Amino acid sequence: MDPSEVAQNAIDAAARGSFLALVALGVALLFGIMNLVNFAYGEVILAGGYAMLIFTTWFLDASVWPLLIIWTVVVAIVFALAQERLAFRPVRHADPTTMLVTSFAVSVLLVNIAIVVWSGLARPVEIGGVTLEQFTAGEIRIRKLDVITLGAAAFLLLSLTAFLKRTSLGIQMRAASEDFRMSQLLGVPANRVIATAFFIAGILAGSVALITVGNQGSSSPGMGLFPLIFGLVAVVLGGMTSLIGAVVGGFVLGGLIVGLEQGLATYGMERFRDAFVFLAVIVMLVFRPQGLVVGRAIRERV
Amino acid sequence: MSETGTSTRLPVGGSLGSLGVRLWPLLAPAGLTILISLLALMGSEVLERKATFMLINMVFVLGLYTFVGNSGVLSFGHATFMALGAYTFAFMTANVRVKNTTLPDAPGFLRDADIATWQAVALAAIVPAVFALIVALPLMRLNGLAAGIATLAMLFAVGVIVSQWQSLTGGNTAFAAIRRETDLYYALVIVVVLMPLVYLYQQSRFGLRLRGTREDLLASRSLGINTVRERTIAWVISAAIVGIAGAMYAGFNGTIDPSQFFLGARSAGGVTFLTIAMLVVGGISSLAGAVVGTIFLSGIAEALREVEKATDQRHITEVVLALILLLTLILRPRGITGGREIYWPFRREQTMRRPAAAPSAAGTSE
Repeated sequence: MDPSEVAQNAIDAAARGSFLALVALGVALLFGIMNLVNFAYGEVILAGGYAMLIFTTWFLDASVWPLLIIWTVVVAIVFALAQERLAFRPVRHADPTTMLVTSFAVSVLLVNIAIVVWSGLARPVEIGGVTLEQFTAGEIRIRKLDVITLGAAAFLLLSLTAFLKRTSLGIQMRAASEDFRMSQLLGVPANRVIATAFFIAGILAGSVALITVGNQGSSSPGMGLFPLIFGLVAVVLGGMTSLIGAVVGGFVLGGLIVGLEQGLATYGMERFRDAFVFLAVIVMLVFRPQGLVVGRAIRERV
Repeated sequence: MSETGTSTRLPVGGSLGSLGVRLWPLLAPAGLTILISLLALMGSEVLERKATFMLINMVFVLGLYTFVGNSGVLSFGHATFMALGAYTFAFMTANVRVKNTTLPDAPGFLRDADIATWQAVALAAIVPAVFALIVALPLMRLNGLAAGIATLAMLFAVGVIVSQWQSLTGGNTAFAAIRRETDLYYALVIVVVLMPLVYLYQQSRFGLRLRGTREDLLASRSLGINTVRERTIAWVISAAIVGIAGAMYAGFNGTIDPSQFFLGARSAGGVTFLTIAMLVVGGISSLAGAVVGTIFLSGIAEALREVEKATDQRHITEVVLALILLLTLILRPRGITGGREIYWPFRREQTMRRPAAAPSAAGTSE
């Protein structure tokens, strides 16, 4: 493999990895705070996608992109907070499995509402030519959208880190994800911490929605499913117990996907790529359930 | 491990009446199912088809219950077994000429297979059971969330293989010309055979041990119960039952394709959601819950399908079912039956003292 090909693959892996890291971070944040694997997180992304559709068809066109970004993220935040208040708060003290089924129900509910309102087909979203533009340097092609994705991921990761390290609320959140009950006893307000986690997850989901629609040029009822599933995979690979693990998992999965595509293509089996990805999840869960990056111990110790 | 541990075996001897009382947790749901099916027989052909579909779902939910209800471990992956059963049945019974035209690259023994329906149903139970036995090796070690995610990963992995292995399965194009023999009688016979088996398993020493691990993993382990082994037994039985549901479905519909079984952009929850909703709404930890949940949600779903037809607005059903599941989880997390079996309502003291079902349901008075 010549150097330019290696560089091309590295760039592809980094672009996918940063996208997956964003999704994984949202999933891991909620898991860390309240032991919730939120299937319905994909539908927060979905809400962002349809918010973009509404914006570009009813309000303004995508040339006022700062407004579009703000609007999309705000809608995603509202949906995330509504999920927490209406569905997850009532089952907060139930076991993780019950919460998992709850999030599955919320997910199916929202997807089907989207289908009832906008039909099951993808609806094109007019967002201009940003999806097609690319830079070239020698034989290496870099899509503008990938650069935006990398930049957005870097910005969000740094802001989130600053928030968690420097602000009082951020420190409370880290305490809550270490030991939720103990932090409550020490005066960390549970409702505010959990709502903040959903708020941040909403910001992340809104960004993911912007990137996804930028990629596919449309909104569809299924658009939340695959980011969510792969985000979940990334979280399992990286380690469910730490936010750094989620980011690492995102980039590892990005590399794994590009690597599998290259490797399987030589056997003409790239269609089966995802089967190998899911196999990796099962292998990981069995042999290294704590993931690549080990955070605090969540296992019940005996 | 001690083989003598269980005291709540099925009664031997005694009068027929007392046997009936003891078996009431089985007889009540079975009777309810038969009654509804017979009522549907007296109705229109549409009603008969709806009842048949309900029974297919009931077989799936009975299979799901056998594992999830007894072990307390959630599975999102059982639709995999349904797909395996359905494709097995399809290969064994579909019109040979059609198979040879649409799947010229499939192995010859599959293309030319044309066996009796009951043999195909048996095979549709065996294939998923063998598959389940293989994947049990890693999967049955997992608990809680990890198990939920791993079974989901299994569903997606097999979904990719079935939908992408063009030369074997035909990929995303429909597998057509399957022998259509599933009618109400056929489905009812299968349910009437399987339901006692599910009940017997749950009352057997294997079932009771597994229920012990559900109630307290560590305590049961300290009593010498091999969790992985007990779960594997239930997992394989449940895969076989769900495989039969797949065969029934294939024989009911006549055509199958991957989107009917696997989660994807177009399926929006699909059979995985429907059956989990049925089990959870009914009550996850009792046979009565599995049956009542299936009947209840089938009734609502089929009524809503009529509304959909009248208003030409699809997917209303899924919206309402998801809402019902959510409300159940929030307001009555143990389901309609509260996770209890249906006991003989006029029982005397002596039958009270030995509740035959789940440890959690012991002390049945509310």
